[in-house]
Amino acid sequence: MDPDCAALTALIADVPERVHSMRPVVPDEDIEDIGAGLNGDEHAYARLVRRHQPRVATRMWKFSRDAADHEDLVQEVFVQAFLGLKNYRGDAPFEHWLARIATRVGYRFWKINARDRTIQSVPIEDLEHLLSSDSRDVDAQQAGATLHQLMDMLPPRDRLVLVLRYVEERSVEETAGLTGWTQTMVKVQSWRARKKLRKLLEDAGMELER
Amino acid sequence: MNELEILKKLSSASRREDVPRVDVCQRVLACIGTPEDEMNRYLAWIAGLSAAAAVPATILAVQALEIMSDPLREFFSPFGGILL
Repeated sequence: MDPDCAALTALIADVPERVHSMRPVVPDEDIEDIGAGLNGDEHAYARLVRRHQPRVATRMWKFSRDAADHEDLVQEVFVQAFLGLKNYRGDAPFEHWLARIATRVGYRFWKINARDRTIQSVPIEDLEHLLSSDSRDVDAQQAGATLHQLMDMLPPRDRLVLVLRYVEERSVEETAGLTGWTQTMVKVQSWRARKKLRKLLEDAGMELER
Repeated sequence: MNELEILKKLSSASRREDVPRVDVCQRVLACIGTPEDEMNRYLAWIAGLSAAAAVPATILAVQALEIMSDPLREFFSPFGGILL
């Protein structure tokens, strides 16, 4: 047997049985690093962090656009993931499991910050400018900032459902999986959140179609 | 345009946005390594304090034992009041 292959086999043999069952949905590199991470190998966990942090960073950018808070949130996701690693069953890709943790961490961040939130107004000028521009000419940075400011005016629960359903374009089922709500709850919450958003825009003087 | 179309237009534009790159690897490792290190530090403190408390306690115990096992204690105790 090839020495590298033998070393790898020996490494995998140490991995708990539960981790072996991850094979069909979890990439091999993740399986090995999760197994080693469960055995206390911090370097293996560091590899997992490096591999997944760009996606987690993209996700957490929707929860905070402040550079320091954003970095803290990304860190918090991986710390929480490490603490809960033994609960990872491997029945879904590691990335999906991380997404659930990230949603929880971000939602908690919003809830904490909602208490200290200052009342803002709808960025109506930015909004009208962006909406009147051709989709391809819209400045992505400005669109992101305006969207964030608009969402920030909604309660965390409404904001979460709108971000997951319409910003990230997730299905009701996926949203339910990420939030831990029932699918009926997601539909109801989504309808209520849309209604609140509509009222917010109409109160700011925008005329909306039905 | 309704509220949903507004949301979708902004979302689709913001998807092209460059998200700031972050590298939290070292910070995560520092955090997940902390509980064990901190525990060791607490244990070291407890061990140090225990040792510091044990030395005077031992000295007092030896002295007490010496006083209590003094063979002339019985003899001198009736004269204690007179001496004072």
